Amino acid sequence: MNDVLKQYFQEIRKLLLCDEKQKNRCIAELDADISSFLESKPNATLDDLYAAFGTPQSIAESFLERVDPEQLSHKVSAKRKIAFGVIATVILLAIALGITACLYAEDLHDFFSGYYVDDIEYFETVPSNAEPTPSPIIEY
Amino acid sequence: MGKRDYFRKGTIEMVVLSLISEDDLYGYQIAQAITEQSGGTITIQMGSLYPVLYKLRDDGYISERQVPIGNRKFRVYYHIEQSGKELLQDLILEHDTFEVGLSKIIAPRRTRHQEDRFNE
Repeated sequence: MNDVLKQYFQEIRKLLLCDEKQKNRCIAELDADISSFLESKPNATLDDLYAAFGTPQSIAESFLERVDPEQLSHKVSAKRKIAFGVIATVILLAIALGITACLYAEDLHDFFSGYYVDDIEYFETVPSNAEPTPSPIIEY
Repeated sequence: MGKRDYFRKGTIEMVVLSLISEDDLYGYQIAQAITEQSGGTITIQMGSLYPVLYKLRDDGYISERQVPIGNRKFRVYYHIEQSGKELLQDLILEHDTFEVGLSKIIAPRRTRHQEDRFNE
């Protein structure tokens, strides 16, 4: 029954639409109440549990009907903002990767076509008929 | 509550406050008391009960105390405050007024409704 209860609470946690603090509180309280129920009915089955407390879906639905609409709209609004942020980040990353790929693609094309671009350093050349610069003589 | 949730806003709050005005109770006890004392005609899902309790607590009508019951679990007992007792009186008055108004509509037509039901 412990594994069944663990799954039961996991399902409820996934379905409950409220802030994390309230979610934790609700599940902790439900856990204690179910313990009381099981004390009075030690041989209770999952069906008995569903009959007394409801399925995870029905608990989440009935919770949703009673939760403060303002809190609900904040929660939905927060989820939307997060989703928008993730989508925007993915799009920006895709654009950046695309630009980088285009720049490298051009270089790769030139390379495979036999062109090789290297940086050339220019040095100042000295004319051949110029007199050599005398080296300093050190007298001791 | 019941098969159809056709209850006025405030009904569950009134029922909860009424129960805990007599003694401090925890969530499951409240749900059990509603079922037993209504003769099984009214049942409440725990998912409906918790938000009502949290709202009443946040608004200061009830307070809570946590009692450990072993294995890192705690039971939450709810206690009615003075403001909760005043709210209960207001809700009962509202409910009674509503019932009177409702019966003025339904009562004259009750016989016909019952005959329609009999003929179905």
